Amino acid sequence: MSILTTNHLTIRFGGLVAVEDFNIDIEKGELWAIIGPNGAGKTTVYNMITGIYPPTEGEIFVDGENMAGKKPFEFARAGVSRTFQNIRLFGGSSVLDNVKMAHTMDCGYNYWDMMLRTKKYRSEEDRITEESMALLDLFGLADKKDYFATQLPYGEQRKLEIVRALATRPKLLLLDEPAAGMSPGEIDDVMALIHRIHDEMGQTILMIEHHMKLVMGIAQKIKVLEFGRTISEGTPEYVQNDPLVIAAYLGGDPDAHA
Amino acid sequence: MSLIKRNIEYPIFVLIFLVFTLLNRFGVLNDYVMQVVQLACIYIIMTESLNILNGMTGLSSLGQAGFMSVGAYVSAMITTTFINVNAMNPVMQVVMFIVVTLIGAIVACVVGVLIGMPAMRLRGDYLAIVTLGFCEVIRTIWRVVPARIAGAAFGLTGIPKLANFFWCYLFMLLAIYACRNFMDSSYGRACLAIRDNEIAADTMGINCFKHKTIAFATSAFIAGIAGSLYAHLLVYIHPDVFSYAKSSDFLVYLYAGGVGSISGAMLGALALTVLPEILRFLGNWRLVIYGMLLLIIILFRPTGMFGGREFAFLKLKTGGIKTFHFSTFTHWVKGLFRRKEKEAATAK
Repeated sequence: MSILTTNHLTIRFGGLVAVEDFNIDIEKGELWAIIGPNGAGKTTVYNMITGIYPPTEGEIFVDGENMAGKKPFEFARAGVSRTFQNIRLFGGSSVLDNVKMAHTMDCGYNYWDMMLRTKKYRSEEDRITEESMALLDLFGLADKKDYFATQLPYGEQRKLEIVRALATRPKLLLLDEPAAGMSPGEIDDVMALIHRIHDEMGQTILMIEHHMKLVMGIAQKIKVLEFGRTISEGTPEYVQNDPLVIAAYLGGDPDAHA
Repeated sequence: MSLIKRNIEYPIFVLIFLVFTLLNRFGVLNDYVMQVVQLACIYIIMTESLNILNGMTGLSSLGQAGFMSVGAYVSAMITTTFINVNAMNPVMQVVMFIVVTLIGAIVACVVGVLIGMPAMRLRGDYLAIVTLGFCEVIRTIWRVVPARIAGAAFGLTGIPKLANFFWCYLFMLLAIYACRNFMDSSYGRACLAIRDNEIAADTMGINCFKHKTIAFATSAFIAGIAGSLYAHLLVYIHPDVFSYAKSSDFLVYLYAGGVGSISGAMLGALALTVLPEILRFLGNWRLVIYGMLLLIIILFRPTGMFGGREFAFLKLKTGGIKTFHFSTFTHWVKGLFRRKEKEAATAK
């Protein structure tokens, strides 16, 4: 059963074709990466498969469900959760509340339960708090639960964003440049973190990353975009040796290597 | 008994009510002072309702007086024009008062949703302009409604005086606890998430449109209750009372108290309603002092007097990161005295 399938996904902004004919088929438990030079359309792909931009053409299926015309929150409910390239935490709230906010869609009480503080409200709130704390504990953020999200150091803000995305219990986790702006030491931590999420929690992951050591080290399959088109796809070894990819990154004539 | 032990504030609420009532009965506090206290209660309700929109959801509303006027006019029209409350026995009067207050609040709530839904596509300043315009439209509507129903430009007179300190105080507590319950739930958290980052909230599975509508409805409902209390307390309402100036008053109360904080809204409304009355002996200078105090608050506490804090008795888990226990205050006062003692000792 594939978690995410896209067929001929295309988006045009006026005359500009940002992404053209993007096809991907992610099976449960896989770890994919999308790479490509700046402006290749990687984040635009993300914005389409989280519903922020409706695609001009093509179809998106999340776990077999056709997502045509759905809004971002419906994508999240279908099981796609993401982080952002430029961190988008809920800065005015505490670390714990950030994670609890991701539980909004699975909270099992209604408006009147909330206003009258019924038993259902209390048991659901306890469950949400417990699950959020367990998740924070797992990633070593439990002792900072009362900090404002923006008070955390940069690396932990990225981590918190991942925790928040995981709190929605996604079928597919999208990471947008999880190692952006980090030192080599921190990148090793991120790598270990993604490994852990993938191996121990069995999370299906799709990530965008520029850092080649990270991508080649952990991704099982890689897709390479350039100017909105897919130029290569396959295992890290295959992609690394693909003349088209080398040409896209280093310049030069792709046929010269052939 | 354990309920009271866990919630030590409940008997204190009752005590405060009894103290004010008895002081009024024995003539220590005259009716004028009681009027100010009751108005303070109503303005606290209004500021709490504004806090739901401005503080929690980040939707800047300048039309809160509009919602208030809907509640005031709808309830007052029923009690003045359509039924004869004075002919009823006291029990029926109380029942009628609660019923019309709820009707006024529900109508305000419906109007809030109707205004909110199209306005929700707008953000920030533009939403403020729309709600400001709405407030003026409502005010003009009350001017053109036939005089025998709503008094038109003369204002609605002869409203039975059904509200008293008990009702103002009770509804104030209910409004504060409603806001507390709202904030401390998935609804309140969703609103806070929308305030902080709408795109992130959307991708976390929060239906932004639904939660903004709920915020608008809840806020307008509470404002409608305040409106009904206002009408039945002052027994006279005029369209111009609910002008833009009124809306901006509530905004000032909220920002001086601490936007986003339930305790802040409470404190801001209380302080800034009572303060001009205390300063009345200064004559025209009181507005100067009032303005200067506002400036001082904004300069030295840009987040408001109580921004990012909550009173401990509200038991808020969301929002207020620092809780303010009463013991904090007593410690602070003791500290002041100790410092004075030390200074006196060193002076010797």
